[in-house]
Amino acid sequence: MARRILAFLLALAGGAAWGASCCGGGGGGSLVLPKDGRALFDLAAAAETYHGFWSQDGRWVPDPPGSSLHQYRLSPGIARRLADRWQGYAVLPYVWNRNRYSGRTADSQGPGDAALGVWYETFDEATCVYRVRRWRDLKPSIYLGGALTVPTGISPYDEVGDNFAITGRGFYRLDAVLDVEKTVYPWSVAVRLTYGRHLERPVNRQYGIYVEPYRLRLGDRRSLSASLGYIWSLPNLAQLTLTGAFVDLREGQARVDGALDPTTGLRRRGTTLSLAYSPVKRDWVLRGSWAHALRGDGWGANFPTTDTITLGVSHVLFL
Amino acid sequence: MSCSFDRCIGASLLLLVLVLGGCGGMTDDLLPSGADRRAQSTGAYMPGNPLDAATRAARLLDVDGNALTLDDVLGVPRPPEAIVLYFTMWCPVCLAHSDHLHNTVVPTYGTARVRYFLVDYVSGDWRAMRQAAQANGYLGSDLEPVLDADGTLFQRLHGAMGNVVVVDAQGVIRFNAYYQDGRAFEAALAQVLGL
Repeated sequence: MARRILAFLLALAGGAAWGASCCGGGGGGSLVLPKDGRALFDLAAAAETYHGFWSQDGRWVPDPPGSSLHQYRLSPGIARRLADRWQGYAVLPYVWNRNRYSGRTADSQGPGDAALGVWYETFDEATCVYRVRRWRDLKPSIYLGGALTVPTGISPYDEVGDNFAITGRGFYRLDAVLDVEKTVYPWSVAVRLTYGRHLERPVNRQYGIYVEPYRLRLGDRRSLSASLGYIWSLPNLAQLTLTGAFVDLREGQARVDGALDPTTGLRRRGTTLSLAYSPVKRDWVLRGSWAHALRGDGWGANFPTTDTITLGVSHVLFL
Repeated sequence: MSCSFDRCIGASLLLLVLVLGGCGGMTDDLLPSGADRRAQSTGAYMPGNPLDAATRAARLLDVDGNALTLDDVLGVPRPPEAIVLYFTMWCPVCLAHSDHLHNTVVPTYGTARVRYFLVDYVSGDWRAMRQAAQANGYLGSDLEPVLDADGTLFQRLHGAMGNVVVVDAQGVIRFNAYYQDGRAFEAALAQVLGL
């Protein structure tokens, strides 16, 4: 029982490290159902605070003096087992933007971009062990995933008056995910590789003004997340897991009518620290996390640096 | 019992998606259109219209707190052949655009015939704007930061993060759109300059 919830905790730790942005965020993360889970319901509340940004050449620049920029997200999600080795999930966030500048206040809210996904488990039993006796005890749990980001948010291409109303990027994106996890109690490690491709779309309006139509495709996205966790078994048989993760995300340049847009592309490197508690039945998980973008020159490019505090609760129905 | 519970949750989620799907023009992204609808944008901020009196008289402040207006810029015996107004909120996208403007556009078209303004529509006073301009590397550059003190330019020119406006010497708007990769903006600027 203890081991089956662990993959879920590690998945949350890795996924929580990627938050939203003022340039169009609110994207839902992914959910992973434990191996013998039948369904999972999740609710996460996140508060993201902006602290400057990286320029295109990697220089860290502070936000304008007197500004206080926040985004809050509430993300309900559901995961369900589809077959012995298959599971699917859906997450639909709702986003509140609260922006205070020294000369302007702008609040807005709306749905964020939704995430739909499937996971294929390459294993029949969880691979967590207490002691490594043979080589095969080192076999990890490998998940292969596919995800679709659906542009349910409010983007610059919707009927909006200005940029402050934006809660989504306006693009469908397909992600392929490789997730490798291994637990030798009380330690656990996980690595997640993601490759995402935005689908090209026509654009005929920006910030409410109709423009000469053109075709736009955001750049391909690659991310690497590595996490290390430590698990405590408490006297009441509940479990407490502390996980640290490092995430490196890159997005290539967008293409406008097939030509590269030199003003686009991004890189973000950050860390996430998360703590999760699960009672003896492991059917509930309470968690909190802090995702921190590494401020300073060279840790990112063309992207805001933020801190995100997330509190979440999950309920698992087992087979 | 539990299976019907699952179905209930799944149906609720589907219903939520469908309800949200009807919100605020969201279907524009779900089913994006490439139809040319420029004729439907008829505001005074659209290209082809002259700047109205309120826009020309809008109070701007430079990085030293000096007041100026677009009338001051255009209403001289030999005004610049074009003025460029780039709306910035000092964000990463804004900096990428203004860097492109500074490093690519200014060297190509020069400063003798064109004046380039970074229109700050978020700072509350010129000192805050000056600090932001300095942090972003534009203090003393060919791009002149100006504070849109009462938000008139932002409002009347339909400003937004990354929007750029080109106005000719006669005060006629020749371009007003998102900067994107700068190509459409540059084409409009070149046309104004007769290049």
